[in-house]
Amino acid sequence: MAEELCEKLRTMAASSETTEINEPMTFKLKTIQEILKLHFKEKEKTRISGDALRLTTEVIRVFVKEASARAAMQAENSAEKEVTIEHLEKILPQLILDF
Amino acid sequence: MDDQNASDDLETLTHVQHLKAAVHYTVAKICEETGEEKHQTFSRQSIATISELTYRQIGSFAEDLELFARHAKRSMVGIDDVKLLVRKSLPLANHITQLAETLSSGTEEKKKKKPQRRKKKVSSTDPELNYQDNSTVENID
Repeated sequence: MAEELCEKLRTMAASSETTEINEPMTFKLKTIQEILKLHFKEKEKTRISGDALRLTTEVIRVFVKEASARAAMQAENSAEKEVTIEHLEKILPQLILDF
Repeated sequence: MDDQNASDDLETLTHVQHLKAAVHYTVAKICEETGEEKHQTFSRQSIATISELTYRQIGSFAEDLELFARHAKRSMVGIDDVKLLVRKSLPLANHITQLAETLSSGTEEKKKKKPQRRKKKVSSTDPELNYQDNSTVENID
């Protein structure tokens, strides 16, 4: 029993270490800034602060993560190994409502 | 609007395509991450759909952020505008507020340093004053 616990703790520690080392993939700030600029109505006037840009990038990262995770769950529930657009179609309305 | 932009179309089209490609790349990476966690693979079509969706969502975010800033009579989009953007879902709002605090803590430290320096100056001048007072007292004696 004690050995099993030790092993479990070790694997948990290892997994937490790897998650700490591997930072979640995110967008380049410059990319997001360019796309935002492109969609501003008054392009010359409107600017975005550095912190606000970082927060917006995080929102977009969460959006993609949420979309992929929900689609993956939908695929899992229908006992399939690959996520297709059919799964995406099912989760899309609620996803858009949540953002 | 389209007629005005028609001459720029060739230049902007490639620019937009570059940006879409960049979004597609990152979306594919994030999907890969999620796929590993959930033991699923993502079809090419689904990744393309998510990236197109994301690109349009960013456009919608941009319009909202600009309007929020304009409503507050600012031309600079700030942290508060982003907080307003995520008001619909509470967990996301909490997450963003937390991140905003960690980001602003760096700038707050800079602000805190200034009063400390002032205090030091005051404290350094105080002994001098006391010393002068003492010396005058001594002189009188």
